[in-house]
Amino acid sequence: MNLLEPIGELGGLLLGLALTLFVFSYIYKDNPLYRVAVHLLVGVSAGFAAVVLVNEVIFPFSGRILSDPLRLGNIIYLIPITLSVLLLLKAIPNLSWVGNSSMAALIGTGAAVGLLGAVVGTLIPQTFSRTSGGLIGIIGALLTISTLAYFYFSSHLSKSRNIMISRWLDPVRLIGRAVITMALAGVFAGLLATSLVLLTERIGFFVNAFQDVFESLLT
Amino acid sequence: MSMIFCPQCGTENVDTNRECRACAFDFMTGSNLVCPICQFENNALIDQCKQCGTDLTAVSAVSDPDGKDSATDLARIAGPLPAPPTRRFTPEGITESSGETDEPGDFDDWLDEVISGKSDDEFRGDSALFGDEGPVWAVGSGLALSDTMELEEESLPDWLKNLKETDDVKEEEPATPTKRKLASWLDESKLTQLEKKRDLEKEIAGGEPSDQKNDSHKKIDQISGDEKQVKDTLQAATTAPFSEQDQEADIDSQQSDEWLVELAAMGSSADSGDAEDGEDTRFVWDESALTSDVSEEAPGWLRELTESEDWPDTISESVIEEWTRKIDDDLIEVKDPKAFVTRPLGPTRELDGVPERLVSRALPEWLGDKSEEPAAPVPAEKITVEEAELADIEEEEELTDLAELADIEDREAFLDLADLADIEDEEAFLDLAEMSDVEDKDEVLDLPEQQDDEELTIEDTQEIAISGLPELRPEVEYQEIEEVKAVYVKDSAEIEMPSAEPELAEALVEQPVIPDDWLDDLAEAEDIIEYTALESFSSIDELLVEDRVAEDRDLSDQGADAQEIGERPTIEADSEVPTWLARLTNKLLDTFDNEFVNEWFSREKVEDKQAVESIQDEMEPTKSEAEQELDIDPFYGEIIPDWLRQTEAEAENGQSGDTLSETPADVSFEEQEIIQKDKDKYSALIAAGAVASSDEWLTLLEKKEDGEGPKADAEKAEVILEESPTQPEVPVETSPEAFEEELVELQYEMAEEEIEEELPGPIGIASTDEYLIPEKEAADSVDIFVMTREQRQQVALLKRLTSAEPRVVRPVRGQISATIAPNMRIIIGLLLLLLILAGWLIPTSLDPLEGFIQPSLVGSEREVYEAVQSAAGKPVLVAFEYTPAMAGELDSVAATLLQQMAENGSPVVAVTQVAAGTAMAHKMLEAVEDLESYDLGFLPGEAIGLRRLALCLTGEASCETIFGQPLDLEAVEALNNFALILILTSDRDAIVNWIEQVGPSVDQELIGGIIQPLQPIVAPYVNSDQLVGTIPGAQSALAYQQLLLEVDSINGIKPSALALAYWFTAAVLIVGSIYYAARGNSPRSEGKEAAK
Repeated sequence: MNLLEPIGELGGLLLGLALTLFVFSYIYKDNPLYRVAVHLLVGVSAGFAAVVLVNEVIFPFSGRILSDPLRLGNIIYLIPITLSVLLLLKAIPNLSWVGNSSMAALIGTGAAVGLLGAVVGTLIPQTFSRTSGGLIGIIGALLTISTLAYFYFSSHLSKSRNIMISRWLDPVRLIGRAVITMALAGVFAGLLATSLVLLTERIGFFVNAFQDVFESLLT
Repeated sequence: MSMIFCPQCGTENVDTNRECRACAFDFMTGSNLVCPICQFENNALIDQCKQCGTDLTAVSAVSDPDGKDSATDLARIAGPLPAPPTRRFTPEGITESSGETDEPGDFDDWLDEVISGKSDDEFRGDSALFGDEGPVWAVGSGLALSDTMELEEESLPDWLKNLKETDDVKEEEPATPTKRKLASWLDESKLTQLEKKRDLEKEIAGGEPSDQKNDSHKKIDQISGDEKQVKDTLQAATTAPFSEQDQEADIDSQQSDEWLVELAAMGSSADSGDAEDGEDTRFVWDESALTSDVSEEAPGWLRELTESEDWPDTISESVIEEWTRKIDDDLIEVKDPKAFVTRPLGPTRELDGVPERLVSRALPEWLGDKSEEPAAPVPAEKITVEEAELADIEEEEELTDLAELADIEDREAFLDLADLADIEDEEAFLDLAEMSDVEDKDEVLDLPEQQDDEELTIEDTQEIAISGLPELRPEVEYQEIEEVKAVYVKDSAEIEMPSAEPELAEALVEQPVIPDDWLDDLAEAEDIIEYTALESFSSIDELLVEDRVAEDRDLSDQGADAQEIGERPTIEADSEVPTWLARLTNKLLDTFDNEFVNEWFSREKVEDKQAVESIQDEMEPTKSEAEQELDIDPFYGEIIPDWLRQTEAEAENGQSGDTLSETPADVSFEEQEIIQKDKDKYSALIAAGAVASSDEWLTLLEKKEDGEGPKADAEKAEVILEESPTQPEVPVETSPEAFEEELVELQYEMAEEEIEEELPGPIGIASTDEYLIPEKEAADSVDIFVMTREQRQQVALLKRLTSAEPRVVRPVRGQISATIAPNMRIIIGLLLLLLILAGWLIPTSLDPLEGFIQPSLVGSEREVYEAVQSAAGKPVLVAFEYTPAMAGELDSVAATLLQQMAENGSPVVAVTQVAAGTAMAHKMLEAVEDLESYDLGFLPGEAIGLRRLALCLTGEASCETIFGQPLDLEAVEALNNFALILILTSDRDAIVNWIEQVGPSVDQELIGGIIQPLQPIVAPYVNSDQLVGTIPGAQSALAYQQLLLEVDSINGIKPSALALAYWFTAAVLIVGSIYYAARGNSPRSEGKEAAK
């Protein structure tokens, strides 16, 4: 067994542990170590994404076009490539307007597809869902209305030119407020549980990794 | 300073020049004029003495050795004279025609008398009609002109004394016509013709060649022939009765001689009338017309006037009521007819009946006409100076000038003024002017123009005119006059007059109006004028000059008579001496400058500027000492009584009362300055149209001043008008003292304005303007901000929100300080780490929490299990939609499911839309043993990419390549036969996109491996069976493993460590809540306290 291998794994584990502790240092306050860890995470993620895009998208497209440029099916790919190049010009202030067409095509198409999917995949199925009827459905509708009423801030002018807000909305708003609180509490609890899982997983990872390294070194 | 024109080249020169500046013609050569007053030797071309201002016109005529010849020549070159516009005095009113009528009465009475061709004896004989020598009223009073001349000098003003002194001189040597005496119709062409004749005569005398002499003789003969033709025409006209046929014939043959023909016709008519019944034929009334038309249509008094030789002493009230009733019907609503009824004067006031005759004769001619047919209503017009200037007077300008030069009293001037005023119905306007029958008829015309932009209808003017009717009657009692004045004041108050010129209205209100017909009567009554028969005149010019002299004689006579009759009624005395008119005309005259006049003339294309200048000089406004006493403007000899005009002697000596050219020495400098400023004021007003300026003939009389002009006047007018607010037209006493006080006030105001202006500062010192901070102009009015309803609501909401905020954030009582809080967080964190480590380090056998943390399975997790089990042996599409950040939780879920798939023999086709997901997929696919998998890699485009993938999964599109990357056959076969879709994601959008874009397109089931926070979000989709089931988080995955897969752990999550973390976290939350609950205040409640 090569000694360098467990040392290398140990170094990687130590580096990983250090970065984990850097992030964990945020429990004290915002500090440079935390920022270094966050920046490093963001940078590595972006770099990794760029590599993936180049490797998974651009190279396959370009290789396909270059392999047979005169093929009609390949020429079509010039359209998205051109739009992508134009989109890169958005980084240049003087030429950013050139990429507006790419943005328009991207946003327009995405909005259209998203709208279609929302209607077909969410609105219609949820409306005609079997479980949405009955008492649960009514309760769900009332809670939804009360939640929406909480965000109703409109008012009207009385005859004496005073700003009047309907008093009957207050209990409805209160119900809506409770619904929102419970929903956010559930989300928060889920995030807290996820965080504890992640922390436990990380600690378990390091415990197991260090055990393996130490066992390797000892053996 | 006046201008003279070089007789050689016509260049305009200053009168002080001794030679022409253009041709060096010596002005001093020839016959220089010696002033008869100061013996100063003047230039022959000037009209007034440079030293004393004496009018040298008569002197020049006397001193001209060839005066008679000149007059003859002028008469010759008069040639075919243009026919002036004449007006016909008919019972229907005054009509105008341009030389097409031969009706008598078209000319002034004095001219009628001249044309009648009576000799002096005849006139004397006619004068017997009135009883004795002298004017009508003088005759009636038994006073002869000789008697009036013998009035004691103490009772006469100084100027009348001077007139009297020079009277003898005039009788000795009649005046000779001169060039400047010519009317304007003797235009430049005539003068040029005369000069041409002289030149030819000189050429002949100079011994020119015979051919040239012959030509010269021919030209002279031609000119002489023209002259002879004129003379013959005049003689024929004076000897033969003038009939309509003759008139028509003459019009056809010689239209240019029409007015001469008319003169002759009237003269003959007068002769015939005189021969038949011995009536006074000097009246312009045609006897036939009077007996036919007038006798039928005119009122009784008019018939008496025309038919009866014996004038009635009184006029019956019925007659007066008759014509007043007619007037009432047509013109004015007479409240009290007695106001117009004349009463016979008593013995003391009757003056031997003369006033009665005078009154009866003085009844205005138009009155009879107006009573029959009133003037047609003329639409109201806005009369402004600009309109007057734009009026088309080109055709009548020469005729107007003729009329003005021949006799300014001629009503033609008013016709022109009506034209200038742009009144459509000129006749109606003229009638209105005559209805007022004031001496200064321009006042009537001024009234509408004074209103400037205000509309003054003809009806209003009629009211003004009619209101003065009783004042035309000298025998009307003063009380009655006052009543009528009140009516006039009422009427005039309805007319808005500019306050800047209240004198006009005041004058009309306060002062009686004098009919001008009495002037005709005066001229008719006098018989001291030595008229010469028409045949005795060598030319028409001589005739005109003689007539002018006669007018001067009338003026002096009547002035003397006026002084003699000191006991006349006050109204008559006021009428005889219209001081208000003098004052008014003074101001009006002063407003005109010669520059404006010249401009007007140039605009009207007046060719003969010399004639214009001579006219101006002739009518130069001056004030003599005597006139100043009476406050009479001498320039309006035409509109003031004739007796105020120059006498014969003065005319001969060139010292006529109406041509005094210089300001008397007794006029103080202050007075002159006041007058000058007043002049500027009214000049500006006239230029702005605030004051009437349509009486263009007045402009001919104006003295030229350099640096003044309509434009400057207009600028002044703007200032003055702004400073002169409109004042009510209240009759104000117009005494001379009040007037002077007003002028003094005006002077002070102007002086104050001058003081307020910035001083120029000493020379050589920089102006302070550059260092002065300019006044800031006031900003424009800010738009009123209007708050909309929405804005009000937003404001109210903002107030509520801001009011809910604490004013002062005070530290919460018992709150952990800033230094303790981080430590507490660190302590809690470290405790959490220790507990997790403890969970990992504690052996499972010694796990105190064993069984306590055992997870339970829920319905959705069992659905996932069944779905994976149902897809055993079939390809499963697994989407790795999470990043390494969530790998700690989702890796356990993914490993659990992939392990199950591997056990079921289901191949896995991995795909991801997250770049980092490719690494997660690669890691997990390698971590599960015996798992057949195909990694499709990265799928870009999010929803669009999923849509494209759905088409591939459904077979609608080819799945050989996914976004350019070729797939192997196994992958393609797996995509075509897949049985389950597993979505591993920590992102809501990712699982929703899969549900929305792919779920509806495929028939296969979708299951999800999500993090725990996504459980509430995907629950609806689970309830709607869009998702078969989910494994939410690592804890569910752990339970899934233990209960379904019967394995302790996958991927290193130890349940005891996780359980310790959960419990510790729960304990911290509970302790914290208890802590704050025990303190009785939470941070929220403390915030509210701070807000209170």
